Amino acid sequence: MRISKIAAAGLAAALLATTFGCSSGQESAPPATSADAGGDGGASGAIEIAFLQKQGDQQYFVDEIAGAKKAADEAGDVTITSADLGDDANKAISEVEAAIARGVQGIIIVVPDQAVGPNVIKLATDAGIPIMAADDGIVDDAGNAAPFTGFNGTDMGNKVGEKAAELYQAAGWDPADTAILASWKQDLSVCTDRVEGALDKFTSIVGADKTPREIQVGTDNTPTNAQDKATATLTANSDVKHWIVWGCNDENTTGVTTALQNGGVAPADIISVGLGAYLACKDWAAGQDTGNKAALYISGIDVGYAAVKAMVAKIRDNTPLPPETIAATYMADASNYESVGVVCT
Amino acid sequence: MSDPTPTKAPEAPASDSAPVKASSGIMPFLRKIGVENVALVFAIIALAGVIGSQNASFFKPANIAAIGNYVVIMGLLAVVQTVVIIMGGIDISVGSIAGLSSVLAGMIFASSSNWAFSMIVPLAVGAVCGLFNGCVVIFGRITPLIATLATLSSYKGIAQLVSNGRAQGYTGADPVYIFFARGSVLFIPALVWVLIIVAALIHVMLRYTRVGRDIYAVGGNDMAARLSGINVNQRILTVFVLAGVVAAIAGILITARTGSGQPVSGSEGMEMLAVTGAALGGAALRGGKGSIISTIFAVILLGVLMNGMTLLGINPFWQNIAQGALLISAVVIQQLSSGERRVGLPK
Repeated sequence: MRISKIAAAGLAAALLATTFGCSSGQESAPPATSADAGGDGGASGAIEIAFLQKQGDQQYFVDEIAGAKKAADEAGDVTITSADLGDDANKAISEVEAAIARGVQGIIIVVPDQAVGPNVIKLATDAGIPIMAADDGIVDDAGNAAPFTGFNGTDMGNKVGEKAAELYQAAGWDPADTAILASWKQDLSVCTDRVEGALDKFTSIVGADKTPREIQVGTDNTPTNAQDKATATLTANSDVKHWIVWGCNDENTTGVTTALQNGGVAPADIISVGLGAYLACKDWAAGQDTGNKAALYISGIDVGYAAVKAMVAKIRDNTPLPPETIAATYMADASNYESVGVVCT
Repeated sequence: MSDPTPTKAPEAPASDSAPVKASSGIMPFLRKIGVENVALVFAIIALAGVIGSQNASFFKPANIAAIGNYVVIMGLLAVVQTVVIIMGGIDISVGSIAGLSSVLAGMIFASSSNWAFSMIVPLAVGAVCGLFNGCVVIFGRITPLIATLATLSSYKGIAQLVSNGRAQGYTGADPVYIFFARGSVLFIPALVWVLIIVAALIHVMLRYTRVGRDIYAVGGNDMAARLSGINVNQRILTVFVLAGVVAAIAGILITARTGSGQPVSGSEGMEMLAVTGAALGGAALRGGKGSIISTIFAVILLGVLMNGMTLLGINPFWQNIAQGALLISAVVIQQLSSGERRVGLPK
């Protein structure tokens, strides 16, 4: 008797579940209305764009939001809602869900990991909300890329490698007592692309036989960690007289350069080419003799501005989002950093 | 020389938090359901009211579901952290175990296309990680904080090593993983159901089983617990294994949510959020006190706070400050109400 009651209750629960409020998750959610989402027909009036960023506490990304808000102000009646995703792929999904839930009209996202791309795109497209990737490209589960604004990681690395090769050849160092110190967060594919791009270009310019050995150092992309790791590397390689330094960002290269200089390596024996220029510029602004010889300036302001401008055009005028917008980069050094636009805080 | 007289070990509190004193009026009622719970519910209602008055989108069902999904991973880890804290320990390796489980789930699914296998193996690995933590604590005589600080680093390293630091596999086309990521039952997201079920099971274990009473007893006074006949080592191992298994469940859900196994992303730093959730819920870090229901309310409060600040367009940097301020306020209020003398270091 008792078993039959339990079975009946279970059957009733199953029927209830299949009838009300149950989903396998494979159905597409009903798209937001065009008024809400700024879908195919375009939308007028106030609009909100969610700008979700990884590592939102880094200066580049702070600049990116500043550029986004500048574009929003120019467009008028546009609100930018930002969120810092850190390095948290799960938070990326949560914030996209939250943005969709509150009815934003567009989403611009810098993903913490490109592997979440398919799920992020699926959520946005199911809701009928246009989505754009910034800085790091993403693809859906069929391999189709989302509209992208930003930089090409390999290309940035190539430019760093090209500048390092130019300075290395000008210095006339012997590859036997020179080493390349490449530092980056090795579980971030976007960082790996940059340092691999740098080495490829460097090698293609100076030749494989004249390319010094490369020492790879894993860091967490912070200056202090890069400094700690480089100090140990210097101790373990006391035979090296000249150092070439590159990495994922300015945090890595300035941290390594500081460690080398603290360890007694003269600035003249260091060729450090950074990526970002926002930290390397501090030595230049102070007029210091430094191993930070150059840095590729990438403007977060430009990327944020271009991304929001394109998104507003999509929402208001139904102008298709450009498949790829590659922002310009500039090689900065002590002589030109202000003229290329580096703002040294 | 006679054997020491067995001492009666403390039992699980009658309410969800502190033991109660009998009296009349509204206070007995409040104490029965837990003063912390009432305070947390009021805080949630007040915060929701403030946010909702500024932006009505807050109350949209989809936004409520988004808050639910947001708190699941943190909630699972906070719930099991509460159990460890009640026992008088702490496990800060849960985030790394979640990362290791996530990447294993992604890799195994990529090679086998078998969702069940890809979930069972990480659960087993989580249990082994928890067992190892417990063994290091008991047999290595290392405090839980130091032991799990060491394994936090080690398990994270293993996850990075096996995955070469990259996201692994793709689960976004598998119906079971999709169900956990985006499915729902009775309008409640599947993810949230996992948290509800795990929290309910652990609540029942703590409140209504011998194991649960023993855990409170060990946290309250482990010497008294041992003298009363409780196998303290066995209970410690049980709790750490439980922590490992629940962390593995969190890791599997990270894989489902993100569509791939994540060695670090999504789990790094979660251990601190888990401790925050447990402490905000009133779990005493010295052990013997805490409740799953309070922790769930605390996690919801954190979720509402984070969602609301984004919704209102508040600078993301303020979110960290707000989270810290909330934790300090809650714990200070709890400590002051405990009547402890304000001299020297708090106990």
